[in-house]
Amino acid sequence: MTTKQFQGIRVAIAMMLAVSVSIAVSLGNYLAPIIAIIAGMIIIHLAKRQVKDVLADERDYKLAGTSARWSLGIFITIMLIGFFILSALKDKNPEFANIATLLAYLTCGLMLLNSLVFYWLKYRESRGQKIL
Amino acid sequence: MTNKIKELRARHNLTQEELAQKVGVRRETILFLEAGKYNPSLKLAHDVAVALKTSLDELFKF
Repeated sequence: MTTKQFQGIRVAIAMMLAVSVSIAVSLGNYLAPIIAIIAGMIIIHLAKRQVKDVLADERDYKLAGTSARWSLGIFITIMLIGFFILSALKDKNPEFANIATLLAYLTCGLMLLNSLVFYWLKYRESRGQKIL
Repeated sequence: MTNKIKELRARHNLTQEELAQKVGVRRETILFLEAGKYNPSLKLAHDVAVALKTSLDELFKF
């Protein structure tokens, strides 16, 4: 299978998933979307194994790392601004304080997860295990 | 950093696609390497040198 064929399959599955999930949710069925998503992931995984071409190389991984760092920085900055704005407006609506706290915990959780993954990868690297 | 990838690839009658397949990267990466826009890992630099039957020292000039 070529890269183009794989990309076509991936787009088709994404479209079918979007349609099936939206229909299932509108009908109030929450089990079907989960099954559909898992089935889609399995099909994509199986299709990926049939691809002979290189789908991603070290340059892509390097760019993905930079992209992840940027995304994290942008997300944290936006959440921090949101936290301060909502905290400042809590007198107008007490619910804002709860949302601000949620944003703060989400941001802390993401930073913690990032640190955990980073140190786990560093540990694997120090043991000579594959990290990509 | 400059390199002789394009020159040596032409000498070996290899297309970018063929060289990419030999070293296990995408064609775009070879394009960036030839243009000097990407600094490869030591492994990739070594693989390219082996594929073009030359040495790292000969292939890359710092």
